Amino acid sequence: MIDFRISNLIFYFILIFIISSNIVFNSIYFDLTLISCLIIYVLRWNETNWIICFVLFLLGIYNDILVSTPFGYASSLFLCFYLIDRLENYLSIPSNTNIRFIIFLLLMLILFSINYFTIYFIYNTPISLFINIIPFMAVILLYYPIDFIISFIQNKYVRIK
Amino acid sequence: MRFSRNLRVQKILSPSSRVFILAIILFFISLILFLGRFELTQSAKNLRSYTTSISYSISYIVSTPSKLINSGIQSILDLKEIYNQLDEYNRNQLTESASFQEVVSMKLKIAQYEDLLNLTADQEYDFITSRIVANFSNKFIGTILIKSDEAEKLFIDMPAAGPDGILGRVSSLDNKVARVLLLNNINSRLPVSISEDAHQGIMIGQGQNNPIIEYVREYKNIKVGDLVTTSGKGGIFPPYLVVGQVTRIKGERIEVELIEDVSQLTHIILLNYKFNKDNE
Repeated sequence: MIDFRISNLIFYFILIFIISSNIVFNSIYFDLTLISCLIIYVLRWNETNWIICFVLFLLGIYNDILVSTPFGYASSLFLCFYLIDRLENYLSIPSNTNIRFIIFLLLMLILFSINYFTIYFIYNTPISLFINIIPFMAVILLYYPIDFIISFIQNKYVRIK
Repeated sequence: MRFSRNLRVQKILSPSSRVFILAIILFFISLILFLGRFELTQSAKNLRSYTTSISYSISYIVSTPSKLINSGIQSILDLKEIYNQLDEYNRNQLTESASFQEVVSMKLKIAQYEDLLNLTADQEYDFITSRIVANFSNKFIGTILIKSDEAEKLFIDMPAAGPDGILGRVSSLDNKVARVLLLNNINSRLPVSISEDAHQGIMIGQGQNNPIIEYVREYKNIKVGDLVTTSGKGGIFPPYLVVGQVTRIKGERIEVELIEDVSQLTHIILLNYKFNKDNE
């Protein structure tokens, strides 16, 4: 059944807002696609709401069209973080924020390595390690503040789980 | 035995498992699209050009609060800059009035020398001015979105330039917005000519780093500071437009600093080069 509760719509809107802000913010320090991934990872999604998967897929395509990244790049990232979150839920990890943070950190490092080697081998372009690691580090640093804000909102105002 | 199998089936068919399976399926579809390089297909190009203006319109509306914050910060910075410039202007006012006469006489002299040397004016092209509406230049897939009042006159591969030199080319367009692929984009390839000796090479975008020039035969003759211009080969860009300057040479790797900084621009010009070439 399609779940159109206002609480879910708020989070969809937050994600659309962050992705859309790409046309305003053009910074080498913050990658809004990665920040969206962080929010997807931090949010406590409804386990039985299948529309979330489609929304994340479509948001990824929207991000790709807007930013001109290859098709499937953002949607695979969004769904990857969503799946990891689901998997952690299944393994009862979410109660421990530190373990979740370490998993997120490892994911970011893996993602950075894949990104770097893809550009290096497919596009034959040795991009600067320092410049490209900055947005990943920024997202890692933002983990605890965003986790705190999202948890605060979800605990106080909404119950989507 | 049958009981346990039924339990397992029930577990797989439970709503949460179904959502999980759906997410995995969509994840693999996305991965296939990405790794299969779907963006290179014609259907993907059509999809992108048809949907760019829709996605831009959505993001334009949704990101209004971000735009307001950004323009507020920008206004404060601009105001600070104006005050600084005013101070500087007041300080220089006296000296400038004295040197004005000198500048005018210098300009007259230059004009006389140009006449004596029989110099011709730079070749000029028809152009369309466009406004930059979104800037994604700080990514390894550097692009900008532009909007023009004469969108019907734009075409794919139209050269884009700033006041000082070349910026990139139009990569996709529809009736409202067009996307310009910048020279620092890792997909960008530009035939260039280096120094007065016109050494030929191909400039390749490097994302956030400076572009590099490859396939230069006489790379040993190139020096730091040499001017890089378009060579005109390939027929997309007109020749002799300034691209940048050689900043570093490491073996066969020639690094170029671009003359145009797109983050400083609000408008660009699109050269009607193809139109001129067809008429010739």
